[in-house]
Amino acid sequence: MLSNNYAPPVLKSMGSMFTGLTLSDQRAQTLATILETYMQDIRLLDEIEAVDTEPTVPFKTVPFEWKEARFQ
Amino acid sequence: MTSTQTLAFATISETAPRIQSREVSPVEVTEQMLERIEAINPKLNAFVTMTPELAMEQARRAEGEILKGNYRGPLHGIPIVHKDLYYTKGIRTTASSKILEDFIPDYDATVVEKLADAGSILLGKVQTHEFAAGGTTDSPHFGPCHNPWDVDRVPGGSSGGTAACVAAGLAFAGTGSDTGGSVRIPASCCGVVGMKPTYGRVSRYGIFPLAWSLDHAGPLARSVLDAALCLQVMAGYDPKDDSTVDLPVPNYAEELQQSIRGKTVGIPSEYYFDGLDSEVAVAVESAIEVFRDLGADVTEVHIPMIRYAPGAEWAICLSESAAIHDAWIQSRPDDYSDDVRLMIEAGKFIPATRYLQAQRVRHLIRDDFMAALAKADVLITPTLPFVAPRIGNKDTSLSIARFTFPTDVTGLPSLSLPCGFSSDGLPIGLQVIGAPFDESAVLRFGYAYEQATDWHHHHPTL
Repeated sequence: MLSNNYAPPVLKSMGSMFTGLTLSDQRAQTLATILETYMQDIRLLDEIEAVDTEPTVPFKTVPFEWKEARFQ
Repeated sequence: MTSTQTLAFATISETAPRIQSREVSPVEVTEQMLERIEAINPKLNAFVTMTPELAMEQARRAEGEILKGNYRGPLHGIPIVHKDLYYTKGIRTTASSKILEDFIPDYDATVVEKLADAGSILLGKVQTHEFAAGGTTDSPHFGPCHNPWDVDRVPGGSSGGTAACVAAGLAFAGTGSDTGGSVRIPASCCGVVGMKPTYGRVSRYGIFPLAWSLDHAGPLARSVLDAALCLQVMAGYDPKDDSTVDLPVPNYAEELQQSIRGKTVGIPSEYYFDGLDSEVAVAVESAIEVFRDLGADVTEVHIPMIRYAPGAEWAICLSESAAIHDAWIQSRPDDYSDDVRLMIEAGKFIPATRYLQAQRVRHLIRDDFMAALAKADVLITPTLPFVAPRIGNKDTSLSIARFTFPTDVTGLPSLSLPCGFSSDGLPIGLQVIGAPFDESAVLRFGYAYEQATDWHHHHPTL
């Protein structure tokens, strides 16, 4: 899993290269702070190494048994 | 108490028979609501767009139909409000945003259409947290919406305008949407009932999305029975929303009358009671005792994977909302409020690998919930860790939804209903969680609790 370095200079660089965002130094700092807050929860997902399920797809996230019910 | 106040805080189930028997006219009910809105809304700032002419036109039509014997059902002639995220044909739909401030849809959301077909009367469009992306409903573009119990407090969000109107007697019920808790959070903060059905039970067609795979639509009302009556109309398969599931919709009002004696209430041993405000803890513990007194068995259940719910919620919600707002966040970033802009920009930095991991993990969290629900008919938890925060308090903006996230991630039905008040006189909410598509059980336990207590008879003084 990526370490996700969200230091402000990295965000500025990534922002212009990959996201279409142009970030000032101050904006990058603010964004880094809030991202770190979110990532405290998101990084916990790395504890789960093997997940024996396919990812659900947006628009089609009805769990398997509910999909079954749909076709009864 | 004047007759106007009596009618304002009456429930749908009390008023509908009076309308059906022609004791009360929909015109009279609507006029009284519009007068109350004019007097009280300036204190709450709940409305974005009022529709008084439309409301009176619909009320006169309802009156005429009922006089001719064409009564459509319990919502016929009942004034309601829609969250300003729901598309309404010919009526401005802003999402409490600057970006959509002049947007007038050319079609109705499926739920709007269904509620109109049931004969309900639209009083207007009410505030949401901008684009439903937050829990406080304090849009800088339209001004903060205020909590009727303490106008210095937020009504919760994102369906804060609906909850404030229902609590203050400005509407009998209204619509909400719930991606991280946006029906249940305002219901808890304002002391009303909020029902988030199973993912797939209610169409989201024509509701501006926050995150496609987490968005749910549901009603807010002043009683569990009223929420059931609204859900009855809102629920059902919709070919226009591919996430909806073609299952029969039970008669909720009939099924909630069944006894809960001998049924089992599960209390999760982890997560929901961590960092809980002491007054909320006391109220929820008292509620559990009420269930025991009603003859339910109370048992402890375990949901170990629940600790991953916030991470899954953030990864999915941030990523999907960034995709939805991708064009505007680049072309009109200054037209977003600070908090919403930050959330959307943050979503652009979540790698696809983490998004997909979150989508996989939500299955595991759901499996744990299903194991718990194999041992209990419903689960009981607090809705929020604390009562409604003060307007401007940003410290609670991320933690307010910790107890509501898990059932958006898993799609399970969950209800919030009042279970007490803090020493400051602020409402406390109780959450009832059920198995997929078993809204009936959730409503039944909520109704049984409500009938044994009187919290729903308390109303704010404005």
